[in-house]
Amino acid sequence: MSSGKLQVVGPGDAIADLPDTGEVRVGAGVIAADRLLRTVRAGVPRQTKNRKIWTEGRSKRYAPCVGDNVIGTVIERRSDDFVVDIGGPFAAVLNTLAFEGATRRNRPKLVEGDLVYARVVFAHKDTDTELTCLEVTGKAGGFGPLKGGMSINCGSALSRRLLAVPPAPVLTALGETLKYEIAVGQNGRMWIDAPRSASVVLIANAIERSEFLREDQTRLLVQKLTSHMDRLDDG
Amino acid sequence: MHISQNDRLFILKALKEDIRIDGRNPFDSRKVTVTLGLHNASATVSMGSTRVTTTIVPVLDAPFPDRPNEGTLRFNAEYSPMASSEFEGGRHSEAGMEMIRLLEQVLRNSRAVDREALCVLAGQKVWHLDVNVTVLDHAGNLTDACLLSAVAALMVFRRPEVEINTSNSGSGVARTLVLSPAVREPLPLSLHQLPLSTTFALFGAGESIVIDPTSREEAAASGVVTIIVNTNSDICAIRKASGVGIPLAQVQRLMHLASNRASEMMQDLKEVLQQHEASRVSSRVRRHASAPQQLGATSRSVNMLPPNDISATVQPYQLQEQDSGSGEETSSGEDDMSVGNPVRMIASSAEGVPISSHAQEAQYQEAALQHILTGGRSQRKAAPVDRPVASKKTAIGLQKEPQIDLDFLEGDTDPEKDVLDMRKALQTKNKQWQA
Amino acid sequence: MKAEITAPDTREDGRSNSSARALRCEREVLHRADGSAQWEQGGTKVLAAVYGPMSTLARKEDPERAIIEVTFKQPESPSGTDLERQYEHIIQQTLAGVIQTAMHPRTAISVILQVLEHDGSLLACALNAASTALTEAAVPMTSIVVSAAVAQDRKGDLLIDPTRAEEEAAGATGMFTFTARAEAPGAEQLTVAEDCLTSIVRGPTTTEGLLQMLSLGHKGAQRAAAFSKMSLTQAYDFL
Repeated sequence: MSSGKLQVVGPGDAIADLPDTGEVRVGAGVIAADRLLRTVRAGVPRQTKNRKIWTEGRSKRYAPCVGDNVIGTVIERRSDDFVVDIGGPFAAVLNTLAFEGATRRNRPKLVEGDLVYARVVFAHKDTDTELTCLEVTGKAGGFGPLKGGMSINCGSALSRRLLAVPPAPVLTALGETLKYEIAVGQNGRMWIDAPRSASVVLIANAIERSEFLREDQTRLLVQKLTSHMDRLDDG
Repeated sequence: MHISQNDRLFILKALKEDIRIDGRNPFDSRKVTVTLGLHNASATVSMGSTRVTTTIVPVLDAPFPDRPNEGTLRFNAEYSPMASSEFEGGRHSEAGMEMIRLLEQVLRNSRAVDREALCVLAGQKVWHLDVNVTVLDHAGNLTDACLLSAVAALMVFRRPEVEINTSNSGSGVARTLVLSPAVREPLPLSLHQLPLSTTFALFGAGESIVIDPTSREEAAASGVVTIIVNTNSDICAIRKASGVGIPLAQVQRLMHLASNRASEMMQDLKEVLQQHEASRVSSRVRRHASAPQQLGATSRSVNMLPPNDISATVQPYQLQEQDSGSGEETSSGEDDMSVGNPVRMIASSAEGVPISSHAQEAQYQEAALQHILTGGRSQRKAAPVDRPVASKKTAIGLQKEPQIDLDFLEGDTDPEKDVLDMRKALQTKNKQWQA
Repeated sequence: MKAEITAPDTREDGRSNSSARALRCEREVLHRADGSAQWEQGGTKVLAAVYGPMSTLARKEDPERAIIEVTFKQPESPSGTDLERQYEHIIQQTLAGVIQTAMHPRTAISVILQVLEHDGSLLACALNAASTALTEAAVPMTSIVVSAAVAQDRKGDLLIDPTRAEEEAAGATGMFTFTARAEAPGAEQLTVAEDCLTSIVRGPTTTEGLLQMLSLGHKGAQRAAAFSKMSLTQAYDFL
């Protein structure tokens, strides 16, 4: 990690030497072995603001992590909780009381098939992942059921790009001509809503295709797609 | 698959405006590509991201006692666990059995394949053809892809010539010798009125219908119907499982669409076969092993390394510097095979001969866009916008990457003109590739 | 009998004894699978798909670790023969040596291999494809695995990366798998371990012949590792 150059690493590659003393904070995809830090998956080694070293990779299947905001599909409603598919190895559990204003008498109106935006509060390899629809403050925030719209699977790398600051070029390009609302789940899922169905479809396709494009190519893509859509409306 | 209620309702709502979630019009089919094997009788079909491959394995054996003059066709359909986590593998899945029944009905019972022509020695030796269909990637409409790949495999299959030695006929059993292709050119099958299918999905109470559904559309559909048409434009079969009924007013329209699509696919299939035949003959002469390289619809990268001698110490390959700002491949001595410098091949539009429904402009435009933008995929950190992409240096055995001119995409934004420009660019690129 | 690598000999396809065929690697070939790759060595083409870690049937799950399930299919024998079962077992044991199964207990990691064309060195090609597909699926591994095949013909000469005809005519064949990873931060190349993770040798050969096969296999594996690294770098440089 001493050089600033970004280098692609593969499983097992050494990414940093362990210092003789001191503390090193290690994140997803990195393990310590002998005097080295090694990555267990392919990607680019990165360091967070808190000096935690992790490997940024690309995966379609989600590995639950506490604090992540995720989009899930309710697959079962039980008496005390909901079973939610979040794209990981196992389904997650969302307690019926983990919603703003929920009581035993007043349960949330989630049913099988609903999309829900939630936060991971507990994730461990030996137990069920637990979700909540409450912010730390106890308010709903943006969490809860998502009404209408459409969801897409975009993988972990693209969802990270979309959540990054400064905003991803595709989102700014789309925002220039379209009004829309999106929710991005760190589990590689996205939800999109817009006043017109055509916009939703356009946005979904634009985002999916922008993953490997440069900024200028992204702008071009969005431009072509929106102009085509306008032609349809006029015709 | 777990489709959310939101998605299900959205698909229905969008369809009321004739919009599909992948951007197609209701009666646009996805791009179809067929790759034929050079050394074995195989055909791999891609319909969008759906991918199915069929291999035909001939077995010379005794005929069935009640049909001593006929060979047989045996169909196996495997919904490989590779195609979806919902497929369990094992060859007796219900969906697989359904597919086998369909293939038997339209290819065997219909006598599309002349089975008497498979007879080698009446009563003693006939060809049994094992037609093995494997689903590799499930992105909807497996029926059409499976049937097309089986038909393509039958068309590319060549049965070996057999020499019959009756000199020891005292024992009553003749000796047969299967001749290798090098000795005697194998023969194509005798095929008649081959069938191809078109599948439609119905939504709601049948008021919305789409052609060639994706898996999400299938999950949201309330019914699915497959219409099988042969080269004589006869309707061979209509397959409809349970589910909502087809409105009577639509039946004729669907049959007409199915007929058109079948004849278009057959036309394109014949072109692919001609090209394949040409490269098969030339490959035998030159002893090259390469079939036209087919890129998956979703492939992110392809790399190739020419053959090289490993007895020397393996040289460290010079990877492209991240900050060089140049789009050029820095490979020295690329003509010197013994050093074995790698050449990067970027996902390009030259993916064999595309079978497309020529009429659909929207699909064409989308495809053209995709091809052109794909050309820039791996340049992300390299060439700045105002420089044209450098053409890749050729190495022995690899074809030259046509130059992708990004400049023309800048400039005026007249969509009409851009569609024509894209089409022209695409045609030019295909020509260059085939040159 | 002394086994040598003699340079001027030409083989059926025009190669020298120590010349390995063209490699081709395509990543993310399939849309549905969590990870997929197609690896080609000359005329041998294998498509690999990986699903997982994902939940599995209760009777199969292991409370301590992920189970690795391998399916190996050839178009000529769809129902599978003993050979396919053997390959599945070998591949499963090999991958168990590098996949960090303890990170995902009670799950299954499913590796499905489909042979598209077979022109020799099949198992080596399949293992290379599997390793690449697992990397694409972000399954945690302590290294990748690289494999190479060698044949010893009737004259005693060693041939790297044999074709199907060469394997059938060979007196002895060997397939060798090694782990490979970068041993220092910022290393340009992967280091292929000296220790052989898996070796499958068939046919009578002397000890010296075996060691020579191993050495040649190791060089073949180094080439595969270098190519794999190149493919990886290109596939992830969008990050």
